[in-house]
Amino acid sequence: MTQTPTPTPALGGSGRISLTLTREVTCIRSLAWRCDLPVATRWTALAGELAAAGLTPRATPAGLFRFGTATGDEVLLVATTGRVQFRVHYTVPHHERKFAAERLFQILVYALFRL
Amino acid sequence: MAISDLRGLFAEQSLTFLAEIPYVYHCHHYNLFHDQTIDDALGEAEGLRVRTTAAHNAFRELLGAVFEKSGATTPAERINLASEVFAWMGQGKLSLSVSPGGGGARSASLHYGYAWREKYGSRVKRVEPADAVAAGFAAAATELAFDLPANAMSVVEHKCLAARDAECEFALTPATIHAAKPAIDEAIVRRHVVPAVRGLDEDRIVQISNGLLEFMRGVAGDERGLVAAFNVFVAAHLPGYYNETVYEAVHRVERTMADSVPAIEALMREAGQVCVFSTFGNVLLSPEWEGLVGPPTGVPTDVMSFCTAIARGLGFGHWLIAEYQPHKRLVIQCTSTYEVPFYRSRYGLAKKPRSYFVQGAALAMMVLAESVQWTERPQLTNNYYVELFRSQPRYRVEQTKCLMRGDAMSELVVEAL
Repeated sequence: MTQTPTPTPALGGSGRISLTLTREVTCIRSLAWRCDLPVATRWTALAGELAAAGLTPRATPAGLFRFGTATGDEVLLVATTGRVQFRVHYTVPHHERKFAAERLFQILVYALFRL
Repeated sequence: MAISDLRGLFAEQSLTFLAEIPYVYHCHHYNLFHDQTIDDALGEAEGLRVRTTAAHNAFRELLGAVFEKSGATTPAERINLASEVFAWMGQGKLSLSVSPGGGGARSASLHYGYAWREKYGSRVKRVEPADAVAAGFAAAATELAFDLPANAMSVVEHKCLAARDAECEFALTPATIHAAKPAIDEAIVRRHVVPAVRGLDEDRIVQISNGLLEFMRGVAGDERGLVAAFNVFVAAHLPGYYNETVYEAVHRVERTMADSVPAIEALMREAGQVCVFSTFGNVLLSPEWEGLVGPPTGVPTDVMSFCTAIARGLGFGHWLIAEYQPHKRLVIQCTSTYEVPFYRSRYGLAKKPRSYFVQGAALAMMVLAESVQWTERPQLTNNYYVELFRSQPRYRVEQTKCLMRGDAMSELVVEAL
């Protein structure tokens, strides 16, 4: 039983990328979502933009950036692989989790626009 | 003194302690399955009693040691500190309103009740409470806060999140007093390990397990006393709880229904299997792991080493790979496990191998290494679990050596059927 693989981000001629938000591999229902960025993304700059957007950086082991929102949602960036995980807080009702993930995704997209 | 300052590590054996009492990490899938296993073995009423008693005993050991080391002497200090410890562990945030004559406790976020509702709540109707661990904790905290003897408090959970109540509620009342058993602490644990030896791929396993141990040092309950990490709910937990429930259940069945012993032992083994599938599997697929080690490669030898490192990183003991022939044979050895010190201290030498948890875990490590397509990002669902462990190739596990029996180490041999 496997999930449909996430499309690999396509770098366009103008440096454009295509991002898809998909439900993440997880046992807790609809709490984790993902998209994938090119490994060549300027991660430190992106982290700065996410912080500027109001996300709070949290301590992580090396190789990982982790940000939290005021409501407890999280965004995790794995710089070595390009994986981004949007982790909706577990208190969000099941039927609202996808929308919460989309809001986090939107924050990421706007942060990328500003790079 | 911060709770995190009470942590200890017996690095050579990958065993972790809080105030010198052993603790380990498990996820909600394992914890719920473990409790269900005990109830399946003993029936719901007796299962609940055994689980509550075990939690009561285990938390008396932990809280007694925590209070002593932190110098907490007044009832208010002790109640506050007990609640902080429980939340730090990821077991939930429990409010205690108690006196020497009893009282109550309540919570809207307990690891068991909350996770049960999250996992099964939309599909299964439950009427029995799910929080024997919190119940036992509440009784132990109340006794120790007021310097009452062991088992002076009885506790019943009469409302539970898992039964669709808004909160979990517990009633504590005075009870018959029994003698407490001596605590199983680090000094006792150290008597029941043998010198660590190196296994296959040892350097890489040590490096990864050290990274995971370091990561786990930063894990603590959030404002609700829960830990959501690795895509699961994680909790620091007491081996005393797992061990007392398992061995009391097995011994009870041995005394009363000898014909059922193989079935009960298989159930206990399956709990170890569920742990590796759910906890280890979710760790391997998590962004935390990807940042620490990299994405799963799907190479069987990698998966085997990673699982061994995870076992050590979660404080399960010094597991090592003695032999691995992909598709054929796996030999896992342990110079320490969290089952052994409890069994040897409470029951003496075992007459047969009894590391049920590691038996199931070793078999599941073989299945995870051989049969899971890790690069395709599998969903670790119940359906996948059933499909995986019923499909070909199938394996069997035999414990050929056991520290509980007095052997030089524990050894599990997994072979293809």
